Amino acid sequence: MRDIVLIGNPNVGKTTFYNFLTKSFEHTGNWHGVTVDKKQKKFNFEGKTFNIIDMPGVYSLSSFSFEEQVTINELLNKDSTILNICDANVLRRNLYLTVQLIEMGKTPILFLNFDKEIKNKGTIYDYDKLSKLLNLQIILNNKLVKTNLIDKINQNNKFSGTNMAYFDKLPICEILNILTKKQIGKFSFVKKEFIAIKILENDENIIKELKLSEQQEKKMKLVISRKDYVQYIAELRYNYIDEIITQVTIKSKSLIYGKYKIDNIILNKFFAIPILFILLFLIFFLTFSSLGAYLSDLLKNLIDVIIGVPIIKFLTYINAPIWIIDLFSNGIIAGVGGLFSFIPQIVILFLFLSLLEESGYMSRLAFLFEDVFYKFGLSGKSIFTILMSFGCTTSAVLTSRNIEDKNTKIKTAMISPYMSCSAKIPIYAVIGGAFFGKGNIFVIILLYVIGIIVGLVVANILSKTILKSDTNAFILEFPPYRIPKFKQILLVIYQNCKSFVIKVSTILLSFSIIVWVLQNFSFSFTYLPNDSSGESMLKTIGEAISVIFRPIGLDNWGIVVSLIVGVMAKEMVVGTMAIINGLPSGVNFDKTLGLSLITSGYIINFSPLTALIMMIFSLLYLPCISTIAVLKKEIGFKYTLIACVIQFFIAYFICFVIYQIAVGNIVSKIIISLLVIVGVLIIFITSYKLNKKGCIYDCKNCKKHC
Amino acid sequence: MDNLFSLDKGQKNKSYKIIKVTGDDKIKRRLLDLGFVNCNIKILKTSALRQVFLVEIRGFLLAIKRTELSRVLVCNA
Repeated sequence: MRDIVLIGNPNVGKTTFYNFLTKSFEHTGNWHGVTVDKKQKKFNFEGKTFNIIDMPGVYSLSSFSFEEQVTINELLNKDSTILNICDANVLRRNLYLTVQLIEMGKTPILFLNFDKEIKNKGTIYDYDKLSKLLNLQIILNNKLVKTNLIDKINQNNKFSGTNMAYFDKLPICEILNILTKKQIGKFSFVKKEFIAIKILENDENIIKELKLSEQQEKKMKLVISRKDYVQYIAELRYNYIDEIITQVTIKSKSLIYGKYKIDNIILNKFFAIPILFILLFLIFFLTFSSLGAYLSDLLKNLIDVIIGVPIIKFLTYINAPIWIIDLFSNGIIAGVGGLFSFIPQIVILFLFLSLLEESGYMSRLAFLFEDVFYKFGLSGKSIFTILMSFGCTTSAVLTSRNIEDKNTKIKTAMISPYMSCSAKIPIYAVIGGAFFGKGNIFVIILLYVIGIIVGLVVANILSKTILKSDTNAFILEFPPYRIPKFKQILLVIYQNCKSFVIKVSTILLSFSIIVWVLQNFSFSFTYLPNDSSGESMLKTIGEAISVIFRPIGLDNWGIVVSLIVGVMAKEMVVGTMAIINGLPSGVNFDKTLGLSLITSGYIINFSPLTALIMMIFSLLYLPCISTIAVLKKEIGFKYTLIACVIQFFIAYFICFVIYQIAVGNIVSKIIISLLVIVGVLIIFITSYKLNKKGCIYDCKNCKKHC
Repeated sequence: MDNLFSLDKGQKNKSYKIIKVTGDDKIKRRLLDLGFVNCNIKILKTSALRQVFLVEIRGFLLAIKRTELSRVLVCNA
């Protein structure tokens, strides 16, 4: 089976084409760096099977960034067919990578994406001539693309990539003469000229792999130091490309890719932030208040009528044992069934997030926020991770790989759990809905704002202490605005619904059953129906731990257990509460559960104050187990542990302050308020001072000489 | 080439010719990869705190910080 590797600049449509070929649903978006890791899948066409490999986007073939390392390793050690995907809108820059592939001795097939788009704009290239000049095959993105691709793959051995004329201008032979045959032989899948060029470019990884002797190193240095070869080679490549482009251009209209008049408003100093806030308010309003709530109610009643009531009726009808009926009505339907009714809200939130992603607006946000985020020790690119965290933190953490600076990346990953994810929607809807009624949307917005502010403050403190950012580089290409494709949006919604349903009906279902068992059996495994006075396992465990939560007003064993189960999956917080409160059968979930939470007779009940504290605590306290796993993979055990400890401490601290100020006597109210004010002042003053002393921008280029 | 200066001192909406990128690190390489050689460049916008620039180069747009831009040596086109 032949490997086909998709290689190209960021945001040229590699993953979109990959999804098209392999019928997969990998995440795509109209910004740079959506794909962060290698992915592969089989592609069957007319009886033949190929292994398609999707790579992260790269501008070049040096091994400096993580993505480039992944790509270059794929090319160095394998002889596979390369499909070089280019965006015809910025052909020159895309050919820079193509030229390097040819230098390497590879024979990529050029896939020119968006060629219709540039034709419509008035630019026409002579592709036959381009193909001849480069001695490579070219395919366009049209209806016959699959058939064409197979043809070209079969004929690709007739092509070999042109000989680069500028090789003569470089001391390639001189470098190769210094190396031994054995050293050159290490790279059997690339041209030896490529190794020489990499040495001239001072590519650390290649040089390390060669294991040069001391004498060789000395000789190399002599050759390399003659000239600024990094700059010179780039010049030679671009000169070559410019020449080719002039030769193949039939008609050209000089339009700037990604430049729009509307950006004068969207990026305007005064309008930019209000526009963003209006947009976010609209998203929250539609998700939580109007459309989302309405659809959620509709689905809830539907589930009740179709699934909930018939199951219980059936079980009663066949005279099932009482504990079975209880398991279904109380354990499964109450714990899990109700969660399905939140699908509409989760869908709407993801719909808007994917619209933001596909439109091209996110990169503009990165431009707008770089200034401010830099002061908090983050990068403008952190906005991608932060926005995606509102959907699902677990997958959002991965996008932090786009950030070049290691410490900035770690900080971004560490604060992403503070952004309220979609799994917390049920908590806000149920608890907030019961206590704050129609005003709940403002409480929810407040919670999102608290999350963002706390996240930024934590990032700021981290960058002043253990995670100082080394570099502050920020280079980001602006994608064009694109109207999101309907099919793509539907796919995103379908994917998220599917994974939510799978999650609810597997993991959450098993947790519900476990919780129900612990709740309804004692340690001696005797069944305790709800009205019995015996001590269930859950109660014994919960009561032991609840002491810790007394100072923040959540010293109720039911709440404590819900929070602990919530670490497994945040959706389970309300599910567990429903099981513990032993709701009557029927799923009218948030109303029934909400009602029980205001009623003092039930195990879990809140006052408006403790309800608010519960919501804040759930927002901040710990990431879910899958996020913790991804964090550990991305930023290591140490920082994951630190992140969790800080998060728990901050959640506890904020709730402690709120609760004590609200219920304490006058003396403690004053003391705590004063302590908080002093603490906040200290944080502000120290960060201000550090800013002044350390000069927030690069000292090398500062004129002040402070 | 006596009137060489770094681009962060350039004016908005004026074309400059790129002569050289200074330094020797991965940022220089990234800029060269993106085509900061033998071409013209124009500053379109700056961010609110004037630390991030939106530039037009080789037919596309790039958001780039003052520190990076200060390493791009240009002359009047």
